[in-house]
Amino acid sequence: MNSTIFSRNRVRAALVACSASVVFAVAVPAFGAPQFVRLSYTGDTSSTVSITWNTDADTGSEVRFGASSGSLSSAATGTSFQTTSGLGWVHEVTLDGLQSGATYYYSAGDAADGFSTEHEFTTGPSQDASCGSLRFAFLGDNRPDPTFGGGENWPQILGQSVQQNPAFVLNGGDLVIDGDQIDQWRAMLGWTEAVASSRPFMPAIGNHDTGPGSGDSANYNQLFALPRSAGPKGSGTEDYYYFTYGNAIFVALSTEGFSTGAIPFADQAAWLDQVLTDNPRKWKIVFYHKPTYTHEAFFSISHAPNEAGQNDAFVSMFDKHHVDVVFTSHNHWYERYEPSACGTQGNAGSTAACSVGAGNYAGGTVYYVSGGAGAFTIPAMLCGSETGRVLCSGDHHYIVADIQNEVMRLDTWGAAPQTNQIIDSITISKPADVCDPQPDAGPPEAGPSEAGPPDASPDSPAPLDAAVLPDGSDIEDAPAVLPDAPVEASVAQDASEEAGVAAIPEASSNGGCGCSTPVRSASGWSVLGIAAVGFALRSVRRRR
Amino acid sequence: MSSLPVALSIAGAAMALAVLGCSKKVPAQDATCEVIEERSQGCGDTALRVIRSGLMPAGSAAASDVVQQQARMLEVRFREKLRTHTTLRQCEKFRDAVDDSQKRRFVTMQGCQALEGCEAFARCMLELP
Repeated sequence: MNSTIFSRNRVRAALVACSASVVFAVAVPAFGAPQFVRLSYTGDTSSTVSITWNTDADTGSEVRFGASSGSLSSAATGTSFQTTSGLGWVHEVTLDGLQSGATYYYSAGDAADGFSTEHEFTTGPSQDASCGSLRFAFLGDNRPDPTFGGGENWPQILGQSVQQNPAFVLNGGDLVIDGDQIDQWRAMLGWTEAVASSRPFMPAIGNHDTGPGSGDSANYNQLFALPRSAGPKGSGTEDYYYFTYGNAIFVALSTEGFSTGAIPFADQAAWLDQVLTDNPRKWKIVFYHKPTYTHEAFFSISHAPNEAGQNDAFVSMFDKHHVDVVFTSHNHWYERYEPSACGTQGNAGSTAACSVGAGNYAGGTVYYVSGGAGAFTIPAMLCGSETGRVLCSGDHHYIVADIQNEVMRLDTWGAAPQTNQIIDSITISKPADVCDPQPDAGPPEAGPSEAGPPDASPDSPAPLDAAVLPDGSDIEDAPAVLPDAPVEASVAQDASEEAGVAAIPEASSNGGCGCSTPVRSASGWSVLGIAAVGFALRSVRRRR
Repeated sequence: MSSLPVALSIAGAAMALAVLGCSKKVPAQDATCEVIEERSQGCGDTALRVIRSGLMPAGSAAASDVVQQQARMLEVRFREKLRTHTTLRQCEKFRDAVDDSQKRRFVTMQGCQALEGCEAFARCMLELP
């Protein structure tokens, strides 16, 4: 029987102690016990997942897993290495040959020193370039402030984001204040484990995450198991990488140094060109730390756009391949820009966005700045004005993107400690593809979306609660929204959003697309919608 | 001796000038980055007060812990920016930029410099109404 060694309660107890004293240390569990269990993708997301954890002693690296809870009849072993900065041993086991869209249960550790508590994960859908559904979350800049703390915001906001049931979580970097400091990583991993042990956590490196050294010697690279950028223009490191998930490709780029000297953005762009050419997907999402476009407040209270000088190389490639969305972080607030195509307009290196029209998603890339996952935010009063910007908010926040075949909806949620309401929403639609019919398509398989967050309490907002509740007034009433913001935000919001859950089936309708992926059918959405409405009503009754 | 009152008057005038340094203004087109930096230093406290009042408006209910912490953090950050003469560097960057949007920001800074009084200068620099 697997022993539960490092329970969540112990993590929480440690976190309470941390938040009270603003000290970045978490209680260390028993010697050799698995700590900070986390998932990531290093291969085919439809059939593999990587499980990483730390121990304070040199123990074995084994994962026991199975399709039923409590029946972990399969086992896989992996590798381990001792970290150079004092966070013990890192263990990595990659499970492969898994079924797509299937839920598995697992426990990590080894027979001699014990196993972690049981966790679960769900593999991605089959790799269909056109059809498929997925939901993911993006957050960035969760790091505490060196003087004022604030690290405890991160688990709250991350917890709120997984109430929306993303299959995985992207992070735009600045996970810690100082990447050299292992205690900060210890705290960050402790805060993240409750989520990352059941949903792959895929970060991009931020300027605060670097060190010691670069590449494989850095704590960031040692602690996360990520794909490596390969090929003639790849760095061979995990600093930039890609993975595909159903009909979407996700590319993490680096605006930080991963080698000595100047950051070779041209190489990254050439690598990106190859990756996007070789892996055609309906949806292309890129994320990295330093913003392409942002407002540099006077007195330099916020960072400048194109701070690392990446725009010229990156933007031309985004335009060439029509990348749909670029997420960045670094500035501790929220900004969204109208679709932009500076490269197409012959000015790829521009520090200002080159709008192609507010709703012209086919003509440009939507750029986000999302640095509100925990660090103290810059108030909206300092947002200033920027050409082509739709919205700026000083709220903590997270973004949840939901893809249903040719429709992607991106909701930005104002988050703890301020609120948990949608403050911005857009829907991007593309021409529908004709997909192979699948006459016997059964009900959607249970995935993480249905499983719910591991720590969701019955009283916490249901995933679709907010989709029922928000209307135009939510957006207009958002305190940090600029006066000009609601106009486009409301334009971007289609009627389906006003109708809430009842409208989601329309957005998710695949027009008869019987994709081989475990796409939720319209009826599946309806069932989910009815369940959510029921849950919402029950919650309201309970509150009363 | 009559030199003491004169000296005191001169000293007083100098102090007044120093205190009111923030309200010095020059025609917009003549404002150099050095002048804008000097004005920023002189008007730093006012700028901070403007930020604080924006975060915690007078007469509003007691600010939440989050807002108070945010204000304190901004103050630390702002003072650090002043101490390291960030405005000078930012101004020079805008002045020398190839990018039109950046160049326009230098002109905006010059416009702020032309305004009378620290409050107006600070609000302009912070892009507040």
